[in-house]
Amino acid sequence: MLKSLIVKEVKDLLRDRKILFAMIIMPLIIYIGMGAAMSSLMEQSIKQVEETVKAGVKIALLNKDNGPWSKTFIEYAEKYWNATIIPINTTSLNKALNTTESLGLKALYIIPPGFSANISSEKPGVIQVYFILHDLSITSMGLLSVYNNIVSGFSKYLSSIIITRTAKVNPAFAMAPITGKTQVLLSGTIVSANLVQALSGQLFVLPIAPMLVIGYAASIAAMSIGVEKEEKTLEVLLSLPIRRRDIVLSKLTGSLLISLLASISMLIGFSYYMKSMTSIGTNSTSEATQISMTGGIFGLIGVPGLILYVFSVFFAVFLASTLGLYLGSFGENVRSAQSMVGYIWIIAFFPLYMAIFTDFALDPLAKILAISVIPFAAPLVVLKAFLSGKIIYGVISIASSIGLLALIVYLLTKRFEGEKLLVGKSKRKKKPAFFKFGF
Amino acid sequence: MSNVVEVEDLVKIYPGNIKAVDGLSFTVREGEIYGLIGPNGAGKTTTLRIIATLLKPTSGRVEVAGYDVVKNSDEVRRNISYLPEEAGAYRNLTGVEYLRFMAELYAKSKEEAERMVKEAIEISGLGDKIYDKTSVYSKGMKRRLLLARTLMVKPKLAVLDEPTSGLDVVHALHVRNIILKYAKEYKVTVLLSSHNMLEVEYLCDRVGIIYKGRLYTEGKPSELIEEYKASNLEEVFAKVVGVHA
Repeated sequence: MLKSLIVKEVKDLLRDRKILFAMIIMPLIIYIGMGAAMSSLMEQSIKQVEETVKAGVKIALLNKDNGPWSKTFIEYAEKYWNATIIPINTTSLNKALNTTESLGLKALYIIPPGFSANISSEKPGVIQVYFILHDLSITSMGLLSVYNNIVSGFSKYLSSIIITRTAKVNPAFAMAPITGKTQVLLSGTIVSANLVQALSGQLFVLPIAPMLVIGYAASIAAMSIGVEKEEKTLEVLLSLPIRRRDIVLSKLTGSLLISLLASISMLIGFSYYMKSMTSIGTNSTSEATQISMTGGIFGLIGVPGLILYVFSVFFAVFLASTLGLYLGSFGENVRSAQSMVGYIWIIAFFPLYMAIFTDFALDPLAKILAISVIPFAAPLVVLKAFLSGKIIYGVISIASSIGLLALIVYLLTKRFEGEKLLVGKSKRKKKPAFFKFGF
Repeated sequence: MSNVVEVEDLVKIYPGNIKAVDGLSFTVREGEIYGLIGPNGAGKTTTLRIIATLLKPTSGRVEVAGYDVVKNSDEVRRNISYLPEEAGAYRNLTGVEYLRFMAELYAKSKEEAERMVKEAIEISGLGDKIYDKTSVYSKGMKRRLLLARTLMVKPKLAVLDEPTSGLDVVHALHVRNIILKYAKEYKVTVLLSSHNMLEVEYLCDRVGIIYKGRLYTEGKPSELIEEYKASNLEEVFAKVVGVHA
């Protein structure tokens, strides 16, 4: 008896081709594709960093010491890192940073006065590293590590020299003769490297909330049309003295309101999450505290950036609702309508993560443009556009979302005007061989 | 007496070359109850759906109150009220909320909408149950609510697909009486379909026997019974289409 019941259940599920596709074929496609895409994007970023190192890094150096050990540092960087050292002559940090940025360099090293004297008297020398960051991409974070590694590498190099030359030396000093103090200039604000690493980590979590909301919004929209079919209310609705486009409009307005509420709720929750996570990664610097207070990455993009970000999330969610409504209209009931949109989050996943891996400051224009026109990438594109100061890409991304939205609304209206919404496909195709044998 | 419905040489072919209606022609006069009778798959529902502007004819001409169902579908929808065979109500609305929602789509003022709702509550005979969510309604209660919704707007043409299908005797009788009352009192023209020939005999002024998408014969039930020397419409149908038990 149980066997018969199980066979019935399995047949019922497997004969629904939409479920078959959504539950068995889609996961294969998605996870294989996701693995390939993520590893390819990661490899590209690593390759970009490796190529930069191979070609030789360029360092702006404000040498306030000019002693023997600072010269040793220059020799070390040139010999072991193939570095080009560009001396900067100014007393002001701001001017030094401006010069570094205007020369198109990524890092400014400052060797303070007394650096060599300190080392000679067995006191740790400090090298200040200012990294100019335009985007929180993997490539940029990789480059930040490279510039830090030059300092830590020099510390080890110096350690071996000191141990070789001096018989009796303070072991603690000998093990770490150089202290690197890295700070980052990000969106016009100097912040600690720890904070930047925390923000970079946040960036990877950032798409999760939009993806979840996009998935739910599409599912709710698909369900609304699935319910009309399952509860047999659609036929009456279509016969009422109302224009078909008004039916579409009312369904979209419902989705719009839900999208709006979902976006607001998501942003409030996520801002709180950002704030709490950022406070873990910050030290006591006032800038870091300020950024933490205003909600992590959102604190860096300012009010206009935040407004555009809210718009981008709203359009992405609304787009998902509209797409959910359109795809759901192909289902015969709630179950099949929802199975049509079960994996809709995936079309947001790829663009959002592709945007994370794209460096808006370093990557070619064509690549940045290509990412910007993919509609679901908009939330991340807007964020990165504001971080890198290239706001136009954010605007392009939102415009692209609106364009796709208009297209889907048009297709949806056409679908409601036609009769296929009601009767579906009555043409019965020949069953594939798979269905002939038992299923 | 003018025609409210004019169907001329109607053909409907679904994808896959499935011919549901094959050259059907008939008219429904103002104020009459016209029944399309035939077995399942005869093309009744397809015909009614075309008249209700839900489907587009493959060929032929269909007019409701002088409006073409393809070219003037908005005007057609303003003149009809359609009850599909398998219709539901929004399960999260109460019966009265459902009626109010529908009334507001037809009425020109709030007062008119409220009048419609009041009348529909009476037609439905659901009493206090009208304030319950429709999700708790039985099939019969739901059908009464939907019929009330269809008739409360006093359309020029009420299109009723199998109005008593699946109902018990009590609910079926209520529905039939309401249809008769509205057709006579308010001069609502009714086009209904049914495979229950006895019901049609009781309700309809004229009937058309439809089989395999074609109209085989039409006329008053009593005239058809006399013409085919039968005891009821079921026998007429069997003689007309050549089906034997």
